Order: sequence, then C-alpha cells, then structure tokens
Amino acid sequence: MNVKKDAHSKTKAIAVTILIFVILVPVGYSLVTYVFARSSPKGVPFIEMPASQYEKCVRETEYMRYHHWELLQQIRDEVVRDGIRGDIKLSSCRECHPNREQFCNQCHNAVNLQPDCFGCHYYPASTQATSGEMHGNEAGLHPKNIITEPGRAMGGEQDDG
Amino acid sequence: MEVDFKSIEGKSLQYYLLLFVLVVLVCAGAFSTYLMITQGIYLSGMTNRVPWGLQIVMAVFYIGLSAGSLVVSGLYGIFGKMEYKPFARMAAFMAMLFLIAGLLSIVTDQGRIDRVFVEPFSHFNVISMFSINPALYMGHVMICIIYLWALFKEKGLLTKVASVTVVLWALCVHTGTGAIFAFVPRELYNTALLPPSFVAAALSSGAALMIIVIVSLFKITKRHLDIGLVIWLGRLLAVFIVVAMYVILIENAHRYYQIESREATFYYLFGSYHGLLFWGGLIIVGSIIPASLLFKRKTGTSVPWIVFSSVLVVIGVMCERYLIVIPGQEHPPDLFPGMEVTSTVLAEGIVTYSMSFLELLQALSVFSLIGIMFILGLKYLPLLPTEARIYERSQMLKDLVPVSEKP
Amino acid sequence: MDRRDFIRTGGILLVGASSAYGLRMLAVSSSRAPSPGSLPTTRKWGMVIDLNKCSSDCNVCMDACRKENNVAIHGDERWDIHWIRKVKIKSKNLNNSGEKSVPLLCNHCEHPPCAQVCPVQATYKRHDGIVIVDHHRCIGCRYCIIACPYNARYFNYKENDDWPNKDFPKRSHGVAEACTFCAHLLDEGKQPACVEACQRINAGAIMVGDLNDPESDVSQIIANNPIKRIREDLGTEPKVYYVGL
Repeated sequence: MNVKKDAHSKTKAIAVTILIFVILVPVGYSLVTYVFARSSPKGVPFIEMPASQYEKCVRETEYMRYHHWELLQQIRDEVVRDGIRGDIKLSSCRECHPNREQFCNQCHNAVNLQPDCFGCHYYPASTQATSGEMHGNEAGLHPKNIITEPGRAMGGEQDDG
Repeated sequence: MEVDFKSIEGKSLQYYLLLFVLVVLVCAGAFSTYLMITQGIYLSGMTNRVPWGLQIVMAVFYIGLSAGSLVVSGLYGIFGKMEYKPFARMAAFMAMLFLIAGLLSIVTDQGRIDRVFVEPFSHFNVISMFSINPALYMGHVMICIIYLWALFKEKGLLTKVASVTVVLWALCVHTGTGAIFAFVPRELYNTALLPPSFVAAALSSGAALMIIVIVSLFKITKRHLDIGLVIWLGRLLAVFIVVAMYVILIENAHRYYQIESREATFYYLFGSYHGLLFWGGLIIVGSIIPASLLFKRKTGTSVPWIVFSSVLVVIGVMCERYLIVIPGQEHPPDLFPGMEVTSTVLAEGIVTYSMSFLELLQALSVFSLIGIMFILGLKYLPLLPTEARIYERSQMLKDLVPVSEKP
Repeated sequence: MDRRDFIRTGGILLVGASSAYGLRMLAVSSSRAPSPGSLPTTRKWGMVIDLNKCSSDCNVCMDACRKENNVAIHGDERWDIHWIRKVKIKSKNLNNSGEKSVPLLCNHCEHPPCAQVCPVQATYKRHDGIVIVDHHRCIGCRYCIIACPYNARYFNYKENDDWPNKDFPKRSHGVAEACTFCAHLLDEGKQPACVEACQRINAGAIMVGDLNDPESDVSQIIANNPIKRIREDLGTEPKVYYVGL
C-alpha cells in the first residue's frame, strides 16, 4: 500500500513540474514584464512630429497608436491579394516619418515587439544613411537577426553598410 | 487470457546513458535547425533543382513505419488474435511516435517555421495534399491516443472500434502521403501506383521494425518471448515484401514501357547512384534476400535470421523512400521535346543531390526525440508485457514450435 | 492505476488545449471576406515572346527584372534566382538547325499546379490571371516548386544585401518566389521591367498585354502568327506564347 502511495505522489510530482514549466513560467514572465513596462517612467514613448507638407496623418493618432497594424494588414491584403492599390503604402509613412529609429522603433522597443516587416520592406533606420548605402540586413527585426552578427558565423555576405 | 503489463525499471546505467546520448543528439539537431532558421536553408544540401531533401525522405519513411506497427496492434484489436495482445500497446505507442516524428521532420524543414503553426490552420487549402496530410496525421495521433487509452483501460468494445478506425485511417494517411508525390505533374512522380506502392512498403517496413523492436526489447529486459510469435510475424512480413515487390514491378514496368517517360525511367533505374540504390538496396538487399530467407523453412523459423531479414527490409525501404523523393527532382522536366539545351544559366539537365551534415543532424535529432519519448514511455507506462507466450497451437505453426504449458 | 489517471488527465488536457487552439484558428479564418478571384475583372494578362527578335547574347530582360524586383543573385547556380532566364536550344535530330535563344519564366498558367498544391493558399491566381505569391503567408514548404512542371519557381535559400529598387520589397529567406509579370507595375498602367528593357534596346521581343482584349498587341500577334506554348499537353494553359519556337 505504501508503494502505491509513493507512486501516486511521484505522478503528482511530475504533473506539478510540467504544470509549472509549461504554464506558469510563460505567464509569470509576461506578467512581470508587463508590470515593469507600465511602471516605467517614460510611459508612452514620445514620437517627434516632423515637419512636412501634410497637415495630418491618414488616420487619427489614437487609432494609429493602437491599431496601425490593422490598417497595414488591410492595405496589404487589398494590394497583394486583390491588386487594388490606393494612396496609402508603407512608404507613404516615410514621407512624414523618414526615420525608423525615431518613429517605429520608439514604441516597438518599449513594448519589446519585433515585427519582421523591415527584413523585406525598406524603411531606413536613420536619416543619415538614406543616401544610397542602405542595405536590407540592417533592418534588424527579422528572425534571422536574433543572433548578434547575422551571416558572419557562416561566412555570409555582411558588409559595413 | 490474462496478460500482465509492467513498465521497465529504467534505473540501469545503460538506460541513463542512452537517455543522455539521445538528449545530446536532440540538442545538436535543434542547433542545426536554429542555424537554418537564422541563416537560410542554403546551409543544407538542397538547391534550386532539389528543394526536398533528407528531411522529407525521413518524413515519409517515418509515416510508413507507423503503418506496420498498427498492423501488429490490429492483429489483436481487430482480428482478436489473443497471442498478439502482449504487443498491442507497444505497437500503438510506437505508431503514434512515428507519426509525431513524421510531422516533426516536415515542420523542421519549412522555410518559415514561425508561420507553419498558424497559416495551415487559418488558411486551409482543401485541394492541397500538403494541407490534407498533416490534418490526417494529427487526427491519426489523436485516434492512437484514444486507442492506447482503450487498451490501457481494457475496454473491449472501444478497443475493437478504435483499432478498426485506426487501421482505416492509417490507410488514408499512407494513400495521402503517396498522393503528395503522385498527384503532381512531375515525370517520375506522376503515377497512380505510387500510393499503393507506398502502403505496401509501409506495411513491410513497419512489420520489420516491430519484429526488431520486439525481439530486442524482450531480450534486453529479459522477458520471455515465445519464438512462434516471431515466426508468424516473419511470415506476415514475407507476404508484405512480395506485395510491395509486385507493385514496384508494375509501377516501373509501366513507366518504362511508356515512350514519353522511358528516358526518365532509365535514369531512375540505372543512372548515377540510384541504380545501385534500386537494384542493390531495394531489390536484392531489401526484397529478394529477406523474402527468400523468410520463406525457407530453416531460416524462416530461426529468430536471428528473422531479425536479420527485418533489418534488410528496413534498409531496403529506406532506399525506396529516397528513390521516391530525390530522383524525381534530379531529372529535369522535358520542356523542349526533340531539342537539347546547349547553354543555360541554371542547371537545366540532370543534377545531383548531396546531403549536408546539418540535414543529417536534423534527421538524427528527430529520431532521438522519439527515442527519448519511447524509452520514457517504457519506464513510466505499462507498455511491455511481462511475458509473451502462445498457449494454444495454431494450425500453421503446430509442427514447428512447442507451445507453453497453460499456467 | 495512477499512471493511467495521469495519461487520462494528460490526454484530456491535450485534447482541450488543441481544441482551444483549433477554435481560435476557426475564428481567425473567417475574418477576411473577399477571396481571390471573386473580384470582377475583364482583364487577363498574357505575354508574347517573339524568338525571331530575341538575340542570343542579349540579357537585358534578366538584368532589368533583377533590378526592378530585387531578385537575389550570389553567383552560385545552386541558389541563384532568375525570375526570367534564357536558355539556348538546338534540335537533337536535325543537323543544320540553328540555335534559338529562349527566355523562360513563370507562365502564369490558367490552371496553375502551384496554386493547387499550396497548403496555405499563399500562391494563388489573381482575378486578372497573374499567379502570385503572398510572401506574408508563405511557409516555405516548397511544394509549389516541386509541382511546377516548368521549373519556373524558386525558393529563397539565401539572402544578400543587394537592394537595387528600394521602392519595392525584397524577399527574405524561407519563402518561394516567381515572376509576377511585374504586377505592381501593371496595376499602375506601366509595363513590366523585361518588356520595357527589351523595348528600350529596340528589340521588342517581349510583350505583355490583355488577352481578353482582341485589339491588344498580344491578341493580334496570337491571332495572326503560328504560336506555341511550352508543354501545352499538360493542360495547364500557360499564358506565355512563343512565336518561332
């Protein structure tokens, strides 16, 4: 009878261990990072308003702040799958916000988000480099760039940009 | 007949050593997959002309192996052969593991693994074999879990229903896997005999692997195994080999006879190293030698010879899976009949596929992962019987083997 | 007994988790209503290549395509991508036949096998007949490359830093790609890069136009010349027509 009890508690131990690692660690990590992000002194990141010939953005600021990806996905589906090209493109954002560091990355870094748009779509990281020598590898937000020096380990083409 | 199932102790040095080796292999392969995710699949041996390499070969190999295990399990579940009840749980468990290995091989081969867990479900393409098949595989895993549960709980009716379902579903799975290749307009793929050939080779390789695993496991854990059970399985294997040979014969005869595919078939049968793989690996080593060994009375009733034949069959089917996938890509489509290509920028003729070390690591890691699951299952689940005996003489074996005394 | 309970509980958790996952997928799948091919259109893009005007040592179409579409090249034929490529062919049986230089590209078939086999519908035929890859959705399974009977599709095995046309995206590694008939240019009323380049050197061997319009250049050439498509016996109905093949 004791043997059965030991076996039962051993099974319980295994179940609890799995429960901890599979469920509680990811949830706990997310909670902790969320609390830290909210309580950070910077709060909502500041995006400098550029000088441009347009009066306002294509959508309101509040909508853009919390739903811009929905707009981008809708445009993407219309353009790619239906071939309907309107006035708004990813590149139209560049007309007022030419610099990814001061625009996209401000919020993305604050919430620790890495969309992989920029591995394929050109968006210069800084305005100094727009004069022709920009290369795709400096996008920095593609899964391939998880390691610090993409390409160098296996002898791929990595230049200084 | 009461069969007592007991898990293994799993505390020996060999057990932990094996576990350690397998974990190391899994990590090595995981690192190799990570490199391919971050750098690009050019690190493997796959090229513009050969986009499917070792991982897909292993995927179809594993899927094939799951069929034979289920046949052995179905001997008890469907046909009620009580002498095979001892193997039913192990066989169902192994079938499930092979399916998981097949799915893993495919998933680690994708260009964008981050999307493969989302897109195939949200945007299912009902006419694509690559959509239908993973759905079939996953359903099959679920049914195997239900079947295992029915076996563990000794539920008679559910066992029978589940085992019939699982065998029929396995038929769909293997036909579907063959259809991945057969339904595509590539010269060396496009034959309606490929799905049946697939099923036949799956049955023979799975039964062979079951024989190998049963004999080795019972030997290692020092549990009694009546050789009559192995001999009967050996005969079953011999029948499967003959059926598989027949379908392969018809498939290649038809391809060769047809004028338009004759040149491609000649390349398939006799060209480069495939000729050696086909005639040496599949026909002689994989089919003729094992079949003759199993049909001859002296070698067909001796367990070491049966195990040896099973190993040859597994090697032969591995060659066959390779032959299904790779030569069809190496041989070019005939875009300009009657013309020859004199200058190209890309390779337009026959190319060669050479696998890379990283792909081998990936394949080893998938195998090691299911190995780990298997030996952990042996330790924590009552999969293995304490002994496997025949208590009643069957007509076929009555002169060949002694039967045990009833307890 | 307790191990079986463990299996049972584990199995229930597994089934529950996967159904939850599956239900979420069902919710996602119904979020976008219009399907490709449902938009009304009267256009069907097709291409005519006149081999009599295509010269053997000319490669401007390949260079223009590469520069317009950021097509990756590494100098290694294992991984180089050529959305349009040229081969030279010669008759095997006749001794005195000359060499012909043939550009090969995606034929944008009317019944594309690549779209049939794509497991996520990333490769599909647009309403105007162009077969295109949605690189946001492609999972890189390479089944479309296996299925294409013309070897016209490529997998992006390796990236490099070249980005000649910053107004057009380039593909990162892990997705399949093929000629798009420069759909982004055709949608705006311009001509594809290869067509424009061929016209610029005054060869005019490649032309793209509306097959549904009987007055268009391509329809006229198809109506008035002996034309041939590659592997017409397959039934894929390719839309690249060759004059002089």
